[in-house]
Amino acid sequence: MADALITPSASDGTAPPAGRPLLEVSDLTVSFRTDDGAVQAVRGVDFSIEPGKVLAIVGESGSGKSVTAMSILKLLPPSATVEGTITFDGEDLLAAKASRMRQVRGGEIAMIFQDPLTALNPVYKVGHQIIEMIQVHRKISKADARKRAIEMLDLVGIPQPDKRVDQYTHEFSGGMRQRAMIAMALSCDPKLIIADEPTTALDVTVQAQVLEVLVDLAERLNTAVVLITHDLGVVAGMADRITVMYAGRMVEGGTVDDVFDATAHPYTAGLLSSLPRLDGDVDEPLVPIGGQPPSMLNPPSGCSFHPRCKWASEAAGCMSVVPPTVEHLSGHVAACHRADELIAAGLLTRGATGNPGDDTSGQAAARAQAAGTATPVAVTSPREASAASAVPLLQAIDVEKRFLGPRIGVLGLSRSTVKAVSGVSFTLERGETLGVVGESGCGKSTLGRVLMRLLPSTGGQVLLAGDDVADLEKQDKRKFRSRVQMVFQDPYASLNPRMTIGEALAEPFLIHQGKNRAASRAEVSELLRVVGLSPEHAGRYPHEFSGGQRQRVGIARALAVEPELIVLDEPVSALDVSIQAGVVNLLRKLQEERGMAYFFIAHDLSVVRHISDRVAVMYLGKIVEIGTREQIYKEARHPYTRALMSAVPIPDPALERVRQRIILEGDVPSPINPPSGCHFRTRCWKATEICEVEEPELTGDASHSFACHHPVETPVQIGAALPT
Amino acid sequence: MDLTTPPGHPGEPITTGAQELVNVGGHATTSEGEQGVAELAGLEGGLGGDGAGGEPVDLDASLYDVGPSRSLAADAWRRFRRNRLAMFGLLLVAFLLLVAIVGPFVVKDPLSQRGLSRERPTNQHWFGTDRLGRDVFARVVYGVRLSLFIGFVATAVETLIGIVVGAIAGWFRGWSDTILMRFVDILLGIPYFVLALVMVTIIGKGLAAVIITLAITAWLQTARTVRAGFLQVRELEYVEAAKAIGVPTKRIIIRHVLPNVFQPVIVLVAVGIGSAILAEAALSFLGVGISDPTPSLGLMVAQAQTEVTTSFYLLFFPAMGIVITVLGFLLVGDGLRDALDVKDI
Amino acid sequence: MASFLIRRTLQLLLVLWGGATILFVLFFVISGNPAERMASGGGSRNPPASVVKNLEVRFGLDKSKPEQYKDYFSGVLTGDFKESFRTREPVLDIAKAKAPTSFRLAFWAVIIEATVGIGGGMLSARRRNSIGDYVTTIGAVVASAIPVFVLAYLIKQVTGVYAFQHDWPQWARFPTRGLGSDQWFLGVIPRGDTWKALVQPAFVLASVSTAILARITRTSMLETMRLDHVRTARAKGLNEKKVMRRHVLRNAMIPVITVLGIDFGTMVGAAVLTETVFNLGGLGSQIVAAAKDRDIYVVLGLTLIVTFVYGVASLLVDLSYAYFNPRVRLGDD
Repeated sequence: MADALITPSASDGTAPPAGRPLLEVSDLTVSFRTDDGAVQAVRGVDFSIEPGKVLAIVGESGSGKSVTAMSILKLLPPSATVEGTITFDGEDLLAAKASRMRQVRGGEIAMIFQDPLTALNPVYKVGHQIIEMIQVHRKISKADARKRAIEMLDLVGIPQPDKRVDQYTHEFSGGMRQRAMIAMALSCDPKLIIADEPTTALDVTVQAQVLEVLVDLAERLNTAVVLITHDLGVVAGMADRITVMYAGRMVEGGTVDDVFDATAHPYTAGLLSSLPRLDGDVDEPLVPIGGQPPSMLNPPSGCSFHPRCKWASEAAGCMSVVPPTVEHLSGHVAACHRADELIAAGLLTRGATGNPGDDTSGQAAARAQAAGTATPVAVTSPREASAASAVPLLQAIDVEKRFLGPRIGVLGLSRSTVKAVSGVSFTLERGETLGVVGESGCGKSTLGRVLMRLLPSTGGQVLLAGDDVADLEKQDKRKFRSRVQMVFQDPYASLNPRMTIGEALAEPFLIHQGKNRAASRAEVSELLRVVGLSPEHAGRYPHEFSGGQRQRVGIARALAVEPELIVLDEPVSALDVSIQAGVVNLLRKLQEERGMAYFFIAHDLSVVRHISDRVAVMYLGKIVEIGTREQIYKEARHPYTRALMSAVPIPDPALERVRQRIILEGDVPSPINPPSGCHFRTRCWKATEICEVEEPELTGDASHSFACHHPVETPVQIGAALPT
Repeated sequence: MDLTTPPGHPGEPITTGAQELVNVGGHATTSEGEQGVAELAGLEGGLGGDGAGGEPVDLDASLYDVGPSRSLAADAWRRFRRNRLAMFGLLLVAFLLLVAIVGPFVVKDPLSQRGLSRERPTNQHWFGTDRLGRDVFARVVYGVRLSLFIGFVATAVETLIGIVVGAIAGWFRGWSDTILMRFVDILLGIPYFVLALVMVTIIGKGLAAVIITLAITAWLQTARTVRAGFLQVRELEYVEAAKAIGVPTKRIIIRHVLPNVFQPVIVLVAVGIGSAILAEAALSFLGVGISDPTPSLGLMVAQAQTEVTTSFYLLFFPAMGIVITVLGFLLVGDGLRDALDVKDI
Repeated sequence: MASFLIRRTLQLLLVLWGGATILFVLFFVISGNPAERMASGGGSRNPPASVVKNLEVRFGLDKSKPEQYKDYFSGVLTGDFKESFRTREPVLDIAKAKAPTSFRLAFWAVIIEATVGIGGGMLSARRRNSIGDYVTTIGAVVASAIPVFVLAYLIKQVTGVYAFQHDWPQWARFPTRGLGSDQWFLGVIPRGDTWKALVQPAFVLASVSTAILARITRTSMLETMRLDHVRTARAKGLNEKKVMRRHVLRNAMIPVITVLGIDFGTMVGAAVLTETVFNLGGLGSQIVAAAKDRDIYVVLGLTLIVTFVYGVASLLVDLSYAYFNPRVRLGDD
């Protein structure tokens, strides 16, 4: 990795190294006119990129990173005002005429958007859309353009490109659509590609493929890439340089290694330490960045990050003076008043941000024990004391859930069935956390809803403390509802927008204890306090809260009935990284205090690792592997588990650089028509004939079992190539 | 910026366009338009605790910060108030209500035939008199009153039917849904006005018949809208959350689903009153609605048609009565549609 | 595609059959003795018993209801809709006589609606918040608030009365009743002076739907313009004209086409007010006349025919979907 891939911005006064930057953005500001006044989405950003390099712009929602990207190609709506300079290949783009901009767009700078489904026009064939682009920029015949389109599709790894070129977007899977977008972006040999969260909408195994295609091609074609993302893990493996944005400003910029290993801004340091990782010490609690994302309508004075910064001080001017961008090392800049002090004190290096006096050490020990011995954690709650300890809290036996699928036949009279969940068995002990991971369509959320009896099962049994849930529900639905609760994925959809927070939290007390709102006021206040909110919030409506706050309200609602089990359906996946850690920590703390069991559904293996005692991996409706956390993360046997782990990016540039990946082919098949035999065989590098005909059973011992004809024998080594 | 942002560019002031640009997260289901700006600006975080003084900042305290309290209804009203056309419509409706309530105490007896036949507008008879010497001003006031009465009652009845049918179909789905919605499809398969004529043929003429006809033909749209709302809302996580807590079905429907499918219904009510008034006028005009001597605006227009060349005012005033009434409700409906961010109606 | 077509056709048949059954029940089962109501003609309360008896025999109303139902619908399937009890003219003949006028009027009204409505909506959307946009928007609301019959009289008053009184040039004077010489080329193109008689009712009939269509077009365009794929089209370097034509218009036209098709279906049978004011004998005004006379078989028969036309129009709309929307064409419904 070359050191000076980016020229420090002009304000730093250092002379630019050899090689003219391809794109240079300086002092960029973007503001939008709104009914509530002007909103400054971007407030001074400088960066540059050299030909053939990868620059990552990292930030959370509202940081202004996408607006920055759009402003380069001048794709912002007319309500936006852009100031500063954007120099591309020596040309001032902000001053460029519309006709010139049209040549630049697609021809010299191409763009890839987040959601490939909506970014492509559904009424035209995919090929047509690529041909259209080629013909704008190249004076070639339609037949030649078509040939080029097929070549490009082939290049990005779309099978049967000559057939695919004539298909519509809805006939493509998510990963293929994004490949097609990449093909389109590369079709006119641009010098620069701007990729705006190109893999956020994709599953993790597909994300790995798509990123590989993008970076590999960009390198071969010597195309520079501006990669916009919120995922530091992705950045670590791919980027040469990083610009970190917060509240519309650049807070830090430099080479990947500098930013990760010699962090110079408290925000970057906070992001890094709040990130759950696949490697590293799992018992060390995540360190969240406190507070809430800033309001851009009324941004904080001085340093935008000061309200959330541990080290903000009046004396240093954090509250009143906007920090200048200062170069710390050659080409490594940060905008922090106290950066020098903090770096010197070693406070910004990873691991140092943790609070040593944290009272989670006891918990960690308990968890380590639980994980190691696979015996239930002996947390006693009043309810459990009376229950027979031999009976597990929750037992699923051969649970199956079928849905009616699409109509079949000309008349559509009959319908296919889709097995969303089939033959799933597991046990969950009191106070234990079972993490369930899998990609979209694997049936993990459906399973959660079946356990909750929000969906009736179509086969098998679910036993709660030994009693069949189906019977339980018939007899005393309300009792059952007070024992099992759920926290939902989308904090924006999981609260009724027309009920105040207080009303929503009082409802469980009304249902289960017959208390009206006035009578349950004290309990509601206590619940809000427990999840870290203020009792005064009871009168507010959900839309007045941020995502993280709403998710806390959702947790409080589940706690109200003092359940024995909480089903958590991707509780943090919709939250910003800096907020996630706080919620994960809250969940851990609550479990420690109250001893309930968690059924934790997630697609993110690193989050699951931080909260689970045991982990189940699902693929197309089945559990393919289940075991203790140690077993799964250290010696997973199923190839799919290995592939999943391998696909997770790790925010560590040194590791990512040497790391080899298992790249699975294709997308997750449709559950409507799953492959015969082992469902995973179509994407498995170990598949043989037997996998095609015989469906593997779960085998292994009581604590660790897996369903594979050819299980992997070697222990997990993060960064290793295909295991055998 | 100037040249690259052509006139046709999606210029909905920032609320949606820019929101997408700035946002990463999957905030899919926020329905209020204003939300866009809030998300754009990262506003949800509220004030973010600016200007906090002391050296050790209590970080978790910022969890306590939320924006200024405002309900969704207040937001909608704020948007409605900013819409000048809608406010004009509201003014018209208020004025007509005033006319309908106060008017009868002020004007002459609309059935009295004591004026001269076809007298042009004078100080005595502001809108002139008709062929029988009845005061047109009084008849228009009573006509507006009747129009409003029919509009309100017919719309109230149809909305009720529509909500009940739509709620049953949308909540229970399955057979009841299939049967009810097929029935709605079948009735919608007959052109609206023809269906109204058929109903009038069967029920007969008169006030009650007109109201029943209008209600029976108009509930179909409401039912469809409510059903669509139910089908959508019942799948949302907060309804699942209510089920998970054990909230009884009745309470889920009333407290969790109904309030959240109401916005389009409110728009339908406003527009529906306007269309009911228009339809009544048309039926009466054709001679199958309200009959003489009851002062219906449509009927008055019909009666004026033979005299329109000589006494234009006989046509003009009742016609203006209809136009203003209907316009008022349509403008209010439009304003509500924008303020509540309702689509597809 | 094929399965989509077949499903839609079956659905249409179901709707038609259901509609016919509901109408039959309304007319013959729940509303008292139909013969008596016919005989009363909407007027005198107590028609002579002999007349009622006569009608019952003539129309087979003395049979049981299921038999009447079977009778009537087996007739309908062979094109026999019974006859008017007044004029003894078969209902199908009445329909045949009235239909051409209705179709021609609807045809031209839809053409006006499509040109003015789509054009206005597009302009309005492209020049958002311009004066033209406001004029279109306000014009659309006002136009939908003016009853058709009032608009018709206002127009007649100007071109048919005022123009003649004030010696306007010949071309500015329009007949206000009937269809003039009623001559047509290829069935729909007016010949001779027929266009003069046609143009006013066509505009009046189109007025409200044009206003509504303009608004739908505007909304649809604005919604489409902010979709992601339009941004992609710009990012590809397409010029604004191409972005509009290829990526906005085509996607935005899907709901617009639906409305146009449905409007045509409606206008054929329900142009009652326009037909009445301009004295054009069409299907709609015939239904009103029959309804006033309680001429039940005419009302029922014409309603069925009108419903059929409406149903076919919506079927055609669905077919056009297949052209505009590949998801439908490829049976991924």
